[in-house]
Amino acid sequence: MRFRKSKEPQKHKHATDHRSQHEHEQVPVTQTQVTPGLQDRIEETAKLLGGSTDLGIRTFRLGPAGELLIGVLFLDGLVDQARVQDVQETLSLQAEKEGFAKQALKEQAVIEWAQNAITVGDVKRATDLQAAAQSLVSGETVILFDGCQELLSVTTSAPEHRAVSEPVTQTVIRGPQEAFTETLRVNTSLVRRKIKDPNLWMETKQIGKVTKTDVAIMYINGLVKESVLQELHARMDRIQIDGILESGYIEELIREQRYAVFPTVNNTERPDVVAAALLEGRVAVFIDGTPFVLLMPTVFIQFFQAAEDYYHLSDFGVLRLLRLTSFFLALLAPSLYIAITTFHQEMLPTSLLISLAAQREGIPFPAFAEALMMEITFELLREAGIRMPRAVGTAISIVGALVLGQAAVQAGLVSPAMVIIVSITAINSFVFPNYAISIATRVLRFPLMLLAATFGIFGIIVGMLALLFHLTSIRSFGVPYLTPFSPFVWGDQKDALVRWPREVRVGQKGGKAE
Amino acid sequence: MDNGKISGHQLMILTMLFTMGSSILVVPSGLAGTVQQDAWLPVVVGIVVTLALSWFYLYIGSLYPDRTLVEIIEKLFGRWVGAPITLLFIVVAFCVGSGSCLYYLGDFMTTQIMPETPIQYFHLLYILLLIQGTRLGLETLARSAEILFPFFLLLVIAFIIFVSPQIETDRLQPMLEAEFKPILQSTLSYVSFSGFPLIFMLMLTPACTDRGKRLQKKFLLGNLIGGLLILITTILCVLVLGVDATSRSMYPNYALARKINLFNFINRIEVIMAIIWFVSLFFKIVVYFYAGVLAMAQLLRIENYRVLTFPFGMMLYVLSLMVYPDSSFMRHWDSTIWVPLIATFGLVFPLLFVAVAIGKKFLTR
Amino acid sequence: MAAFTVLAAALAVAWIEVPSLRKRKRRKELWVFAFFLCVATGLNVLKALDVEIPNLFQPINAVYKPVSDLIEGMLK
Repeated sequence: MRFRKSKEPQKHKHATDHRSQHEHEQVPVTQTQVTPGLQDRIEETAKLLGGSTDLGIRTFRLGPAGELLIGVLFLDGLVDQARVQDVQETLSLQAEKEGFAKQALKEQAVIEWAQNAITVGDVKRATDLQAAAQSLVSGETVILFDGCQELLSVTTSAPEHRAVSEPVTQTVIRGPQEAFTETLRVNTSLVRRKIKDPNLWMETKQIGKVTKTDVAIMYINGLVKESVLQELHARMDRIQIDGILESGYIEELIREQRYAVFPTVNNTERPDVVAAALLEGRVAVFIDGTPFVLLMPTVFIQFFQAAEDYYHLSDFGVLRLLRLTSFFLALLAPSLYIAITTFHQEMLPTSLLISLAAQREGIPFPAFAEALMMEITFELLREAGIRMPRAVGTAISIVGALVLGQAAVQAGLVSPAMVIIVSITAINSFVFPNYAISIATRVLRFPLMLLAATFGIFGIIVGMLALLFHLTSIRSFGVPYLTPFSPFVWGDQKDALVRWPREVRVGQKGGKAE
Repeated sequence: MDNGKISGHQLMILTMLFTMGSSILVVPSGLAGTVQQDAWLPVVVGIVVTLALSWFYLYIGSLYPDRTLVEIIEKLFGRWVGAPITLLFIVVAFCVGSGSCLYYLGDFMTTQIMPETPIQYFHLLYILLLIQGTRLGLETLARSAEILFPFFLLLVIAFIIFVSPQIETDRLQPMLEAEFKPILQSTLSYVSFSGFPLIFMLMLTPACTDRGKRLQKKFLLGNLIGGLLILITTILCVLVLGVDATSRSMYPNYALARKINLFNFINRIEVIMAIIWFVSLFFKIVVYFYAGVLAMAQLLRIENYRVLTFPFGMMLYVLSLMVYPDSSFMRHWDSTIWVPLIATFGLVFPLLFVAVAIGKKFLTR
Repeated sequence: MAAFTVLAAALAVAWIEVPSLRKRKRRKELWVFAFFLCVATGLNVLKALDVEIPNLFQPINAVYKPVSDLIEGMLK
């Protein structure tokens, strides 16, 4: 009997902490005193948890004469000890004050009495021990009553959580400096605090056969498109998976296309971005255990809209054009270099051509091999920089700078122009406000380089057309990915390529500043 | 059929690209050859004729709205007489139309831009793109065209602006010297490239959300823009290159783009300008291909035309390499056989359709 | 060699198309697909083996030659 072992420290703890005036009523009950009915059920519950050692069990009698025997079960570490004690205290206090009449010990009456007596947390009734075990692992305290089929579970959870801190992946200069944490409730409250409207609705699901991860779907009733919501529910209900450990699991499982290169679900760790998306009628999906919240439907241009675009004056919104340019550069810079140096040298001004040719003279590789080599090296460095412990990170960057910047050029392996191209590609791929889109550019860069090496500019055009077809064909929850450009929506253009200035209505009759 | 819907605007762009398609590459040269500096005149006449033809085709379409060309043929002639006619249309759209356009592309690439790469590889690459686009459906194609449209216009405008410093206006002089018959011949040649093939757009128009007058407006507008772009390039070719160089060069547009030289900095960007022709040619081929595949699917009454794309793509590969043994045959074919061939399908058959439709109406009354 | 490439391509195409068609029980489409794939593969193999394939344009040429000559005569 493993659970007996865990009982000891609990009893001890109770005894030391709780030298209150009702101590004598709570006679620490040894095993022999527990009636077989209650004992069996406690054991059965413990067995459901595999006799896990973090299960705390206390049995004690309530009432002036100890008329009622109850068992209190909880998982140590998941519960707030003070709240568990609160529950026990209130029960014994109430019991002592009121006492138990004969008929009050009947099944229904006891449960109802206890349910009323407990003032802490959310109290639920259940009969199934399986449900009791489920409650235990969610951090609830289960109370069993002797001679009573029903049981109570009280929310007493006190999960460990990190304090709200600054965003790490999506930083801004101006704007809220708070980011989601790993706790679902904290995250939803961060958004609730921004949108104080009763129409901000939330539905909760549990996904994952084993992990039973809490997933919250948040939207603003009246703004959200019903069809999107229904589709989301349908897709979530279809999910068959053992565990959800990050929002990425859900993202991949609710996508429309299995093979879309581009992300059709956005993610963010910023509450303000979620609030803005909700106000646009989008749906947010919070997953317990990760600070990254999913937003849908998502279209292409949203990956270029930084939160800050809306916080500075609209002049800042022009930067979006810069980001779009970066997208194409990050995608195409090496391919264009390959195509031009291999097939279309005439496009370069003569002086540039001569200097390029001079640089490339001693290079033993064709431009494609040179570019491939350098791009792969860069990707490796980047990957190493992320995986390595922080302390080694600087070493990586030194090696990178030396290898990429100097040694390779001096050794005559690559041309200085190629180094510039790789740097341009690298810088451009760091510009996007959302990391997800830069993955797409990294993946697509290499096939485009191959096309450029075989067919020159023509190959790039074919590749870009293929990419365009792909982009126009994919959808995010029924919304075409390239909205509002195709299908073209006039009204949305003021927040597409650039952010248009907000309309100023100050001073107009009956108007208000927006 | 789950081909999605296209908007009037998208149809307009597709029509424009289809009108320009191969014509913009080859028409100026032929016209300059027959009517010299008056090359613009047949284009103007041709545009008018093409507009009339478009109106006529749309009239046929309006006889049975919501039905594609194949379905109209079946309605008019029944299944058994209709099938051979449809088959002929498929052969023309698929083998002759997309096959020859693809050959233009390969020929253009191998003779002008990348002479070292074998022509097969260009065809293969383009066919793969073609299959991808067709499989993704008409809606995807139309919306892609819609996105490309601004870039396309930007390129065309840049092209015109960049070339314009080289214009020598006296190259158009003396004006209106050409005689009637050569003008008629050149007009016919223009219409055979830009006008008659529009009959195949009847496979696409039922997918348009616009109907009646609105559809007509968009279709004619697309047609007109395409025609005007051809007109502009033709005039520019004559103005910049002169009649001789235009008629002698195989692809005068490309020769024109080579002339671009701004401040000695923006020069030799003809490859960038060639994007205009890549794109328009692609859309011309894809419309032909789509029309052919869809027609075959409707003829065989199979629900999804997509199963045909791969086999037809493979066939197109062989056909496109085979149809023109060489460039000289291409010129011969284009100037002699192509005109009556496409006229049969763009004029004789449509007239027949209308006659049968009117006859049927008369009989039922 | 080239012929084998063609066959490999044909197999790849079949591998892409057939499973979904079979799953959806589209017998007719399956037959049509098989027929055209065979034709296409045959054409490509012949092409790969450098067998002379009769050019489709020749018969068209023969049919339209008189018409073309007539037009030419009229416009000359």
